[in-house]
Amino acid sequence: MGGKYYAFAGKTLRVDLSNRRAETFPTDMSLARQFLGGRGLNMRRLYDEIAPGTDPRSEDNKYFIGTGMFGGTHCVMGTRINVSGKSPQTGIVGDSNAGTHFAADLKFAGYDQVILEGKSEDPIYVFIDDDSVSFHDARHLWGKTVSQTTRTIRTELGDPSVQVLCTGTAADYGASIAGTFFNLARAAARTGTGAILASKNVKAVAVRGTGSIEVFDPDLFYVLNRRLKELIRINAQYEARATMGTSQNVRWLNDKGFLTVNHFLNGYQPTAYRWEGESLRNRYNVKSKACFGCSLHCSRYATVRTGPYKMKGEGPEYEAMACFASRMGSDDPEFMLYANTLCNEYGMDAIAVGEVISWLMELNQRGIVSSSDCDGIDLSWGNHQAALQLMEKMAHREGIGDLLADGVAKAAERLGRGSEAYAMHVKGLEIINGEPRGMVGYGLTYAVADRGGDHLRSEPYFELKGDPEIGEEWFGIGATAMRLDHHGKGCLVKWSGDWCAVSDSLEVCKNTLVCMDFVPYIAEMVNAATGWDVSTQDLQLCGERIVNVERCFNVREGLRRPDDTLPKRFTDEPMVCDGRETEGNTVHLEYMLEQYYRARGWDPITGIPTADRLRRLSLTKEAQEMEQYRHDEASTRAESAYHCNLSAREMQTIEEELEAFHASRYGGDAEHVGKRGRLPQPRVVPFAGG
Amino acid sequence: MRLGIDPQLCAGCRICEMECSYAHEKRFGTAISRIRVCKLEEVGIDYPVVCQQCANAPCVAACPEGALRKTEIGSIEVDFSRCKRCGACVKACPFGAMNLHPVTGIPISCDLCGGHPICVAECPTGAIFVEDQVCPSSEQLVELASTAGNRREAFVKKTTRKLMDKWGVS
Repeated sequence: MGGKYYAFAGKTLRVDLSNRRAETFPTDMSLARQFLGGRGLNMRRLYDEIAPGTDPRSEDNKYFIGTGMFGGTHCVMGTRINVSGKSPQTGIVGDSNAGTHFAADLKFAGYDQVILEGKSEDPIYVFIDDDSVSFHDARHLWGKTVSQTTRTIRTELGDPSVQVLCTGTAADYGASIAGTFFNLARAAARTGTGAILASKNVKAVAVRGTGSIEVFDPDLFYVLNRRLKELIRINAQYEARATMGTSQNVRWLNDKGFLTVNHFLNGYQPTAYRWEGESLRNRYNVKSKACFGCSLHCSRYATVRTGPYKMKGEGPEYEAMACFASRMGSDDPEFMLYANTLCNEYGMDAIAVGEVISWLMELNQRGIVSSSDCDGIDLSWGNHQAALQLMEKMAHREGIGDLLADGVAKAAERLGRGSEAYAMHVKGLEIINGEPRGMVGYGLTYAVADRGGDHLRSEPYFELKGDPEIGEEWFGIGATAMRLDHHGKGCLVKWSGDWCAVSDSLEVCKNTLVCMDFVPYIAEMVNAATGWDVSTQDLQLCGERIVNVERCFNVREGLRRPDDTLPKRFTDEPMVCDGRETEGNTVHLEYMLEQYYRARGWDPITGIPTADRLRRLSLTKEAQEMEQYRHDEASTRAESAYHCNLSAREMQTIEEELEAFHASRYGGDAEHVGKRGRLPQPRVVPFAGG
Repeated sequence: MRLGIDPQLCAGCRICEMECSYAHEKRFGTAISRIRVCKLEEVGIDYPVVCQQCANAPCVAACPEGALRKTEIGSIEVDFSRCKRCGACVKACPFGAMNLHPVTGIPISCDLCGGHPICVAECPTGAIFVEDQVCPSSEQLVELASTAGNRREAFVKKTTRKLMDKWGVS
């Protein structure tokens, strides 16, 4: 093995499912220095090991499980995990992240990354017990729900504390919107990672680890960690986050008029108080729950004791809440809690399910579909039974469920009748419940996210601060802190994108690292844990490298600038929200997009990263390939190339903002390689929503 | 001196396990932690299980070598030179609070950090606290199960039954 590993567990496990063989090899530390771990290393392998045009459901696709350097330590930002592969739902980067106890156990067992490849002949589950890897029959588990599977595996292995990663019913019946589930309700649900597992005939991976992790300077790490813990505790967001988690968003979004109501047709729901975070806290939550190692403990365990929607379970988070409430025109908290638990049991992506249901309801309102198209289900807004029946049908691919189980993009394509115009997705992935007309930077995020319509690739939380002075201080552009202002958002999203990639690769929580402004503290902790000598700027560069590799993967799969877009509703239809603050706003995407490409150093015409920028990020292989793609593009599609509609004045403003951004962040050097820039100390600023 | 647990407050983050292993070995691992969080995921219970300093400690009684003794603050101390790593103490502990170290094979149980338990200091919710109360009687001890994991689970299920009833999940 050679050398000692600090913070990393030291081994990578490659499991050949076709031949039921497993081999381990040392984790490549020079790669880890460039890609940090977790999502970064997964993406490196995705690009290297999955050839262009691979069928995501074939045995050539792979399933990567990645843990981070802080996994299985007392780092208070939690221990998260990334699962990746080529997405069966979108055909591009497939990657999803969850906060679980599985990651810590995987590291204690000695592994930084696990690669599942090939395809098993019969359904199996894999048990990683420290050094031994065994394959167990899972035919009796096929089609079972998440909790049934987890319970059975723990019983069979004779240890209730074994950690289990598994799929639910939906994956086994072939749904593409199936996710990977941990600890019953912790989901890495987006992009259909569960469908990759099912296509390999793998129902679950179980792990037990009795080893331990060593860090370079444990005492310094302890002190830095202790400081961070105190900073979290005194942060203005602590109280709300610790008691309500993301469920706190509902009240604020509704007040400002950009809650997702009736499938984005409205931004305000008068009865949202029934299911907002405060109401859940007072009536249904019985205790707090936490990810491994996190002192913020923002998750909740909820129960509904009586009635048709009797349930018990962890969650839900804001996205699932809004999907099963306002997005489909409902306001019943008990139904919402029940539907979320059911969705988890079936192992489906709640956002995809919520989009499909609300999309059908809008089509029904417009007369494009009726109940006779949908097995007689009444699709009026807020019909709980319809939602439950549709969910059941999707999970089992029965009747109309067969049309819907691959997500809204494919469903609209198959249905036709102009329904495509109402399908809210980017690159085939359903858009979350964050109305981009109410926070335009998020709109840009959805458009450019390499996995599709999602905010977690580059959450520009900063724009919700609502104080231009802070925007000026951090990025040299006051407008970056204003959610309805388009100026400077290209720069902000580039910056957040880099840091979200770092966050996913260290496998810590974005809610703390990015949203609570702890970026200035992270480099010291990385150094104390690993013994490296990296600066904040070096880490950001790693983040940028990861974002670029993902982009290159998508370019290789055929994606270009026209794919970085938003549904017309957000760019063309003014917001309707009962006359609240967001009324009448639209997203001026082109302006932000143009600035984003420039900030990233990507070609604004094709959207392909330039060889120059890639070489600066030490991505020489990618640079050569991208050069070739740009060359081909220029020769074949020159006449249909993107035409910029921005005025000369707007283009000039874009340049001026970029200059201000670079001056403030990187001392004027646009490339900022090796520069040790300084970030402002985070001030204790209340979240604009309070 | 004894560690008290409030399962209503415990969020199951397992920071106590990480701090415990750091404090004793400067490494991180649940298997080398003297406190272990038992999670009953289906009903939402999290319960840090740790040595209860029993009055007539079964682990001390069970040791064929006489290698275990109680210290003045009530914790169990292991005499490394006498310990034969037979695991009799692990089997005897009714809570599953005693484990063998995965590398050395020596039993590890809570030493109360010499009187200033780090898990109490670091618990973000205050679910672990110092309790000056006499130890549980033998009636409170649950039936011995075959493995430590099962014993922990049984113990936690029993202790948290009231709470589960309150939540309506039992």
